[in-house]
Amino acid sequence: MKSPLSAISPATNPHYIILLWIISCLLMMIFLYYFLQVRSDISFFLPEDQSTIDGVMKHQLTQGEAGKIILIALSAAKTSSFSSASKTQASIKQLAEINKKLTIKLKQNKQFITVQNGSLLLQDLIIEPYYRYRYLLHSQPEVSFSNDSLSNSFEHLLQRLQVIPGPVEQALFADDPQMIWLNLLKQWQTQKLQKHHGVWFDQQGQQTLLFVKTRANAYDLKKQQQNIDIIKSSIDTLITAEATIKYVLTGAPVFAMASKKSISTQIKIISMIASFILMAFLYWFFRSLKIILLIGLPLSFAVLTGITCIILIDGFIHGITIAFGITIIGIAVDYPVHLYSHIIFPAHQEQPSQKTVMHSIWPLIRLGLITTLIGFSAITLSDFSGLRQLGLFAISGLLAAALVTRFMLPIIPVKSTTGSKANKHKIQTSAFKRLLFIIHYPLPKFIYSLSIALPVLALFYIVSQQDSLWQKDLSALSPVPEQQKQQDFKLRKAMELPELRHALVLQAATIEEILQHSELLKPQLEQLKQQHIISGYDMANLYLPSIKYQQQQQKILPTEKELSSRLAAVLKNTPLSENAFLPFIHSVEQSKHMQPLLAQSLLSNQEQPGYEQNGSQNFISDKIKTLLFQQNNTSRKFSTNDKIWTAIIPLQGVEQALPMTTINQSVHFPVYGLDLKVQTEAMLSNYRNDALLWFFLGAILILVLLFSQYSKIADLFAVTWPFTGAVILTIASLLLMGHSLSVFHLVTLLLVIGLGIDYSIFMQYTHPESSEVLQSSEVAQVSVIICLVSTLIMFGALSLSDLPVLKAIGSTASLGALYAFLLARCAIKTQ
Amino acid sequence: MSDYKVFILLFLLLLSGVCTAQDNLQLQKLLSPLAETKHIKLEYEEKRSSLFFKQPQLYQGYIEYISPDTFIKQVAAPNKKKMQIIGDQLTLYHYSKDSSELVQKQVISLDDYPQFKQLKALFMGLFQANISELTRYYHYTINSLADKKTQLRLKSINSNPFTQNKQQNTPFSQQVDIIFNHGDITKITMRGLGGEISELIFDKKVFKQNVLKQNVLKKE
Repeated sequence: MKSPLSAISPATNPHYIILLWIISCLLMMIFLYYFLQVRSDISFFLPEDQSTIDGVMKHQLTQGEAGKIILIALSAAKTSSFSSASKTQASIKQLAEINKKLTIKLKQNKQFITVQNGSLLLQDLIIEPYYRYRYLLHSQPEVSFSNDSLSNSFEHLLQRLQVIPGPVEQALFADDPQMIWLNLLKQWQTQKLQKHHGVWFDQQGQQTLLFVKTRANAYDLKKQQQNIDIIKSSIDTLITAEATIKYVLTGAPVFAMASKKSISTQIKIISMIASFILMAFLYWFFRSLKIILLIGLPLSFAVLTGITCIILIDGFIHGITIAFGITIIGIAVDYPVHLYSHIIFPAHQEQPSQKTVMHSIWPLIRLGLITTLIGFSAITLSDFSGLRQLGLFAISGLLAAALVTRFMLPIIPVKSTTGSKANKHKIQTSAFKRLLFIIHYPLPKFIYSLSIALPVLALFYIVSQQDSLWQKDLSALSPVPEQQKQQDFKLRKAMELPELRHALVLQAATIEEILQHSELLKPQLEQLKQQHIISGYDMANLYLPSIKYQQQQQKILPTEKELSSRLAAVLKNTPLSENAFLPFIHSVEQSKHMQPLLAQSLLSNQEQPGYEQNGSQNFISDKIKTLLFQQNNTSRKFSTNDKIWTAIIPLQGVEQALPMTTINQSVHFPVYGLDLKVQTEAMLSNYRNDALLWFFLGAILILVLLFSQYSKIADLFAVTWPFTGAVILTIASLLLMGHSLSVFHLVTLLLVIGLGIDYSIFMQYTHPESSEVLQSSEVAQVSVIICLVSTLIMFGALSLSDLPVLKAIGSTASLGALYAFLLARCAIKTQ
Repeated sequence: MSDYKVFILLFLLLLSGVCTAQDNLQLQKLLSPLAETKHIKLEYEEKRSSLFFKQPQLYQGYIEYISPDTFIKQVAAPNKKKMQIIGDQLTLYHYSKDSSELVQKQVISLDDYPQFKQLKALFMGLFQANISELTRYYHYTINSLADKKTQLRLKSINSNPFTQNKQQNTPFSQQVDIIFNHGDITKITMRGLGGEISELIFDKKVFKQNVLKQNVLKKE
């Protein structure tokens, strides 16, 4: 009775396999067409919230203010050094005008939450609901309702009435003669840059400055590209023949777009060049376009399968997973290369069937596959979602590539050298012989000793370089060019934008609690300022005090009767009319009885009447939303609710360590210190340690498997030493070249191990004593060279990139493959 | 379109251009006596009406312009006050009740006081005969009055960045009428919305110089 499996055996139904493959490809493509979701959110590669600080750091990196700000600097094109002062003044005026027009234009666009250039146009002056609540929100001790204070305020008002006020000013004078609202606005606008013609300029007065805050997060690349395009086209429409203006855009969204463009441009160019060279090389060897296409099939299928599996499991795939994943399953190219090398160059004149060839080399491919899969399966156990997805992608992809090589490629007929035309046969054999010569070239005897000694010495070197072994600085991995980074730094400094590094963090179950804690913390912060430990700080409480504070403010407001009587006394001997200030009396009376301003109403998504100013959100609400947010309550310290409130207090000018112990002792609630640089470095370190742990686990499992396959110590050594030595030599080489290891190096080293095993297995291959199977050890060894050259072409090209991540992957894989080959070559002789 | 209609259209277009050019020429002619003023000081009497005042207030003082960008308005009576603008900096001087002692000096950015900024722009435009600056922020008309006087009427444009009125249907936020008599400014009347009026009458020109002398500004 026939086994059911014979129905799907290639022996009985070869075309069934191809049909099955085509259907699976179609199904996967249709599936991906509807369900493919690629994310570029960096938070996916961040650890799960382990602590308060982890959670805040993740929030800052993904949704923090810094990620949404685009800085714009406009300057005149260089004029002659003999320009007159008047020309310079005219240029400043022109720049200021363009700045104002640009600000108005951008404010009309809902893509931007806020646009600030230092000017506060009258139409933007009244910002509800804060204006209405000014008497509850302000903390100006010099302004009170005493007769002296009122008298002082009206004296200033008289000065202002020397000139005709506009309608908005008129309303303000009548409603708020003490100018509490204007003073509040000044306090809230933290930038103290110099201004010309009402807008910000740098110290030298050569650049006019403004910044926009985008609604989209920094990682939403599509929307950020739109935002940048809007800004550029807005500037271009304002530039005229008379005004030759240069502009600079910088900030996290600009960096993200520049990085994306840089990475994709480099990858495209590198891929094109490398693919061309690789195809040329493969054609030189195989002399068949058909074979080259067939070699590409397993890798293509691997990528398709990998993406489909991830989407099925996670619902989305990260961009980094695709980019990195495709790289590390590059080993899938080796499988068909081995197959076709043996098919094209049979040892005997009679060409064996392709399935026979596959049958003879499949155990080697299988062993290499299993060991590689074990290596990658280790990282699927990682706590980091990003690494897990990478591991799954590699496993599913490599498995798919191996199955296609095993079952489908042997079905598709290709011609060997025996059936070829005479010339072609000659050329192919010549190519084969040239490559074989490399294998059989006699090496000096000391090389073999060196192949053992060098990795050992390299290991000692690595141990001695422990301090510089690991990459600690995240910015070193940044694809942003140094010049652009410096430009951004200069502009940020010129604009006195808040630093993004140091902050204090408070957490509480309710908003009111957290606002009250902030108020209690203020004296400590003022003390830090006086001690010059910090130069400034920002907190949500500065814009929105607690309910308790607002109620205290209400208590000290005079009644309508009291205020009227004081007003009458103060204005008695002045030209000012009491009746003109009835709106003021009414406002104070209203403030005395209104419900306090609640944070919940400001932080909700419901737009309130008067909430938007000329199409753009007011900067105050936006500020509060940045500094006060809800997070998952992972620690369950403050409440049993699922969510907890977090307040972040950015600190400026931190020159020395913060006295956290003193701060915590002075208040009765925990205050956490956040140093974003230190935290991201710690996160990077954890990521790397996690990857290292799984890397070693994977390596150990690989060794265990190989141990079970090779009973002789010599054989085991010949298979394991090349990849072990290759890893050590690669790390040592990278250190000698001045590189430190990052998580990208570690994951690429897994690829090196896979390549090393593949090379060792095929280099050690000796054919069984059977007349039906060919003398294929030489073919196996030549096929290894083909694989090596393919790897060197693809990854060598990557190593020439000036992007740190691509360079890391390329140089690690190239060096690793080369060392693995050389050590495997030496292992033939030593065995 | 027939030839004669084209001709009429072209003629009208040309005429409008000519009229505009003639208006600017007229304004230029009107302001030319003030052109190249380096230093001028004018005594004034002011009647200031405002919804904030119990009754119109009468002031006396002087206005001084010193090239290129210094403007001073000093109230001498009834209570001494002084306002000085140099560049983008506004200094407000507060004096004691008997006007003898300087009590407080407040230095502020002009950007925080847009109405002062507009006042400065107006006088700079006049004393520098800067037509482009004036026409940037104001529509103007020139009318001939009795006694060979000329009235220059300025109405602020809605897109004036100094005021940026929200009410788009408001024709103007400020109207300034300047009366010229044989090249001298004799009266300036400024009208804002809500009953704000300032009438400045210039009786006597203290002096006018076309050459700027050193150390004009006394330190206070």
